Amino acid sequence: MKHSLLHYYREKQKQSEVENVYETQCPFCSMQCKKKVIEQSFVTRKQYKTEGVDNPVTKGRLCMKGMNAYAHAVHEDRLMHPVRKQPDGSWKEVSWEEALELVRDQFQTLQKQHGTDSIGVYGSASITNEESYLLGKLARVALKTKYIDYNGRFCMSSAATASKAVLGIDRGLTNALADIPKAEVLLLSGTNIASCQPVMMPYLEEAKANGAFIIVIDPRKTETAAIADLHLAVTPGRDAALTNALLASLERQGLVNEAFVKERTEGWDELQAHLQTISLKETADYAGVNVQDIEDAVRIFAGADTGMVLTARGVEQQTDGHMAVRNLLNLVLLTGKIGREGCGYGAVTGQGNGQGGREHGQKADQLPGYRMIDNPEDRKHIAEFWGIPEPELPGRGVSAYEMLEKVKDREIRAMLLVCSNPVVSNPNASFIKDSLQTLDFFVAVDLFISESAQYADLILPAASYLEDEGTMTNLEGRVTLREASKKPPGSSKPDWKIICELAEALGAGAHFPFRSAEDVFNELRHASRGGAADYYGMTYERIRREEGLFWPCPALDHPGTPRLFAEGFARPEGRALLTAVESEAAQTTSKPTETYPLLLTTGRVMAHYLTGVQTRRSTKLAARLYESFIELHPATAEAYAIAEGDLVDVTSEAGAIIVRAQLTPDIRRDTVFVPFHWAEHQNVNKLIPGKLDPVSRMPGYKSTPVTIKRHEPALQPAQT
Amino acid sequence: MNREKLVVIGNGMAGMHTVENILARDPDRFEIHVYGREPYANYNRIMLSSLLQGTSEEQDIIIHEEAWYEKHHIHFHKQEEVVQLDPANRLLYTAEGAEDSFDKAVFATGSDPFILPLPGTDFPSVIPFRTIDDCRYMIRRAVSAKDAVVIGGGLLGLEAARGLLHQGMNVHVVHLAESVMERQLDQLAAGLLQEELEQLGITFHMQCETASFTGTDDVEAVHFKDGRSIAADLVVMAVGIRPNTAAAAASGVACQRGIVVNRELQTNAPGIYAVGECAEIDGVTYGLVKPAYEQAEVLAANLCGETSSYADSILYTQLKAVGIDVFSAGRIEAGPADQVLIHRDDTMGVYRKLILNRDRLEGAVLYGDKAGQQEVLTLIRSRKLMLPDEARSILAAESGAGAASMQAADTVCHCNSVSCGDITAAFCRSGADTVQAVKAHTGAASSCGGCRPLVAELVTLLNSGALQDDLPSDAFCSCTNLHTDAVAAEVMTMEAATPETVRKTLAFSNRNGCSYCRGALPYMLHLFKPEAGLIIETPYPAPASQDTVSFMPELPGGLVTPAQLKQFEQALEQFPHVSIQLTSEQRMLFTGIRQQEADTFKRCIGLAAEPTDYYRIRPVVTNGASGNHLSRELDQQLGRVPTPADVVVEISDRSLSASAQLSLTRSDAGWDIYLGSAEKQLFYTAHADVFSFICALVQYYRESAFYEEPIDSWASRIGFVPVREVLLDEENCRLLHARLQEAQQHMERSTV
Repeated sequence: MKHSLLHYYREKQKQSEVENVYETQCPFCSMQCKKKVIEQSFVTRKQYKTEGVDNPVTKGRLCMKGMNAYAHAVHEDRLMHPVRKQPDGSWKEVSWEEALELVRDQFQTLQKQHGTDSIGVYGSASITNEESYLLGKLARVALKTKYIDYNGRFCMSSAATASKAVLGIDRGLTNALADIPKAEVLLLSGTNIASCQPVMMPYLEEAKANGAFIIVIDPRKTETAAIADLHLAVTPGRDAALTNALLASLERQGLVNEAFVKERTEGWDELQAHLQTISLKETADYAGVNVQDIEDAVRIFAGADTGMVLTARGVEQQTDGHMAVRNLLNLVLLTGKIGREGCGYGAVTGQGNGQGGREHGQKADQLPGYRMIDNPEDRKHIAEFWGIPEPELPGRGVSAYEMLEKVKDREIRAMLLVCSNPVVSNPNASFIKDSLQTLDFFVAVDLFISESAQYADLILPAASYLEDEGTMTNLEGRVTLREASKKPPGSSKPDWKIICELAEALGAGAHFPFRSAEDVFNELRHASRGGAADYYGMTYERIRREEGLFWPCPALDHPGTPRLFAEGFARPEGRALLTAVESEAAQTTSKPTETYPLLLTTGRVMAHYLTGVQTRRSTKLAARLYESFIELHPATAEAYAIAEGDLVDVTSEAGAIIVRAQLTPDIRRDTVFVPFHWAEHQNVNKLIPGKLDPVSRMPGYKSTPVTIKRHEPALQPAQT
Repeated sequence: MNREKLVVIGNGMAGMHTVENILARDPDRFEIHVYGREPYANYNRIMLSSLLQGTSEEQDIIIHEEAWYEKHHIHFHKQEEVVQLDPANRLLYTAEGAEDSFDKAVFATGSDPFILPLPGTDFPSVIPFRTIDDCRYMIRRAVSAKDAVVIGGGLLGLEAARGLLHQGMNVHVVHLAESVMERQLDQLAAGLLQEELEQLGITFHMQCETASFTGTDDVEAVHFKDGRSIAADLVVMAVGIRPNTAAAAASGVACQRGIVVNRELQTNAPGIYAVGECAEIDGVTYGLVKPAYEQAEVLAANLCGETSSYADSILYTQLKAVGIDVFSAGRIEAGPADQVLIHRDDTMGVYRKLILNRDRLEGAVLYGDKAGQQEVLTLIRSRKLMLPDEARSILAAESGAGAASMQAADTVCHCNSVSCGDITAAFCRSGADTVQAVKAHTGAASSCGGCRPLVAELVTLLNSGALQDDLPSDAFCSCTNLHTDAVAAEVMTMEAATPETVRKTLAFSNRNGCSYCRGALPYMLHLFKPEAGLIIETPYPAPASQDTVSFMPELPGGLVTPAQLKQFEQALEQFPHVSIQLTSEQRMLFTGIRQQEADTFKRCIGLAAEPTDYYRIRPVVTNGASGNHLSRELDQQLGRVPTPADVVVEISDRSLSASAQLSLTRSDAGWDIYLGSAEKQLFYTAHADVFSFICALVQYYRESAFYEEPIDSWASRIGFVPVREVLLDEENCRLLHARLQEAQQHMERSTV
């Protein structure tokens, strides 16, 4: 209340009595800013403030989310003890013994009746590496189920599969962020860094000050696009086509880096033949961008000595996301901009541990160290390491959304949900709700009774980030250590401890003898040894002292690897793979129809994070934006007789929502935008159909045909 | 510990900039000695031409007074010229015969003007243009002499010519080449420049070679090789400069055109360096201040134990001639592979040319209008890739919008909700005139850092004097110069304060107060100490006619019961001359009550009167049934509490009227709360307890608005986001509700 005179004078005298300082890292995005939360106790109440702490990545900067991230952790809605749902739908506190016994009885009974694969484990990209590793081990060793996947599936699986296929390794950035200011040109595609990773902006600003030319590809003129030299307002979902136009123009202008292509790639002949069949004009029209801009973009990108391509969900969360990313990798390779200073490709991860969360076995097809569960050698290695016979190690499961389909089909009967809110985050949200309700037994691990946890039979109270030590791998592939000194409230526990206790209850305690997060990390180090994401050379002590280490780091005296692919790619003969990509994906869900003539795209706003369960509980963040909205062009609004501030019905094949209109000329006329941080009638994911990318199994969040209409109040004046 | 002894040979700009940078980095590292052959402290040589042109005074061009040397414990050897070093024995010798030792030495000897080896150069009035003494001589000579001849039509020559013209002389410029400033300007720009100077009265002799100077005691004529001669009382030789390498060469330090150094500015002799115009790097010597300064920074860093290396400077030129704007940078003439953009407007005397090569800017000539020169330099230096559009916008010299177009309420820092107005206030009230200071005062740019460039731009603008008009006056009222905060601080500490005692203690100029503080002081006193009751200093509104009064009974929510109607009917039967009106606020107003019967009449009506003598929440206007309950609650809870200004509240199912400042309407999203009268802005949508939200809003308004500031203006001034931040916090709400209740209880007690 800095503006209130009265408040100021009345509060002035009251001095802080106790002060506790908690060293930590922001729980939100993939920058993993170091900070400290300071708790001050006054006579009647506690006050919190946050200060940034210097670190090599963000130099002590914090965005508004980070400044206010304590709010949910100290919120009065936090669960203090396990709660079990009563027949009347109310919640009753139970002891941990009772809770664990219930899980054991339910899981074992169901597995006896329906087989070991009748349990699904649904993880998160917000938990630590230690917990990701343990959750994978819990599923495979203690539950012996093949069904495990995580919400990171929606984060960057397209970029992950594409990088794996093309470069041989999937690491968010192939280089350190420190390379960005050294790039002469930056191509940012479908990534709104200004709103999603505000503390990364200074890297772009510095690049710009050094003279970098910035190209932004986005249907909207976002805050990020505002600093661009060239903005290509692509039609949502047409990224593969736009890139084809760029590549065709590159080839025609004679700007391909032939030496690089010859020495370090394969597949150029096929790709070149494909590019020669492309009509630049038609493809550009289809992508919604004019030819001159495409030619300029290519000439500048290829003409620069150094350059980087960064992508995010705009390109990746499409039903052709995998191929769309591969096409942009074609551009990186054809111009030879990788493996050198100021060069590289990066998928700007959204979630705090989006990177580490997918490296250690939380994903349906993965084992620790970024090993693959289908690979016999990898299987053998991990089975031996875990001390189980190889045949007992389950095989490949299915992706997060598909797991919920299997729930609906009654193939999966029980679910363990950790730190995730699928009801709000999945496409086809109404289906997800139904699906969760068909479960015979559902246990959630959460801080709150979230929109998803409310359907659970049992909720186990987890520790918040302030109370949960562990490593987090940031978007660069830098492993950082999040310290935690606060005691979890009530009987809540860190996720790793909960996982160990579940394993113990399930009779697999011998495989989970951990006394601390560091114990878990030491096992993870050995498990990852020799894998692609090799953490063996890292210890807590080293990570602390060296302020983070880049994987692979295969030995205790290895300095880590900030820049990948300086020598060769992690593929046969060290060659990266060029691939011809079709402009129009096999699945053409994103084409507007007569009934649904507009294209909806979704995204974040600066004040909120993911499904908003945490940020909506922060008063300062809620104050910035307390409800969702639909962004539309004034001309579009006029055509639909919608005015600024009107409530709007937005309808797609999958569902309908009501949000408030915000008019802006900074969006294509055929496109509307709704952020995804709200639930219920504002939950934009109700509109997203459940179709998935064939390779990455990524839903197509970013281009859905919709129609809009001014909302007619259903409400009748109350009778008094 | 013995400090290393650093000797700087030369007291010019490069040498002293090196010293400044050393002092900034590590002030105690060296014992510094400076040798200078001129009898002056450090001055700005490039400003000599403005001295000659009369646009600056001698004191303006002094960079460091002698006191500066003393303050920083620099041993200043004025008018002592070092002629030789003995690198092996670390000794130096001066022309004056002194000897001194050193650990490290820096040659910053600059250049000497090049004097053509012609007959007659030893006349006293044949001089170069290099030092303050040369400049003084010209100014003195101009008093009595008539004809000045400048040999050389380069940058320095033209500046001298322009200066001598200013001094009232008849000026001739003799130049060997076809066009003036041929190294810095293309032919077209050179032609325009020459034309402009000719119009000012300078005569040019182009492609003309000087042969000799003649005269008796002093120069009288200049003779050209083609046989022509012109009269001359003063000859200024400006045909170029030569790096001053004499002392270095005598010391055995490697010299070519200049003193040879590597990119760390080291000569071939260990511990001996050279910087500025005397230094030669990769075969290049520079005769401009910018490269000299850049080298000085590199050298200072290296001397202080860091490692820094000099990258080539971008060469640019700016003619300092009154009324003429000429700037050039990089390459001047385009090659076949270049793209050239030209903007030419002869009517305005403007010619601007940019040279692009493979999407990068490599050269520029800006004549007649130098706008965009900073951008040009940045673009050339950074080798930024650019599209022709960007080049076009530089040609069109569009100044960037950015900070200049910001309004006071516009948010600069989204992380910390700092507006442009907050930064302006910090600048004006707290003297925050750097980005660091603004950061410390307002918190702007202290979080993610994304707004830092904008803050920097704003600070620059504010320092230039712009934007400050937006700031509201500081004073509480016309009776005092004190700010509201200062008055509040006093009121808080005073025991049993009244408006009179406050005015007396704070020495208000008008002891009876003005129309503003007669309302504002009682309001503030009540806000801080509600238990003392509200003092009414100013009747509000002014009483109507003397004979009769009117009476508006409190009807919360505008709701009337049948029993109340019956009672009104009975009262009116008793007082038939009283009439009843329905007001625009949906309340009943009884008028025409005679003074003497007023109390009896009110007793008959049986209801308390609406307060009339201070600002408060006006009776809530309700349209449609869904708001009835809410408006009754609001009237009951808030109706009697004083507010900074009247607040008109309306609850409506239908469209909103322009008279209300606070409007509530029920939608499918919840209760939409709008602020503003004609232009309504959605402030918040409340789902649960809208009543408690409005109470908190009103109390926060009561506590933080200026007196007579309407609620919508207040919210816009503070910003919707910061207000919501307070109201959405449960703890804050509890405090606000408690304080509102306190105020409300005391109002009831005091009005009963």
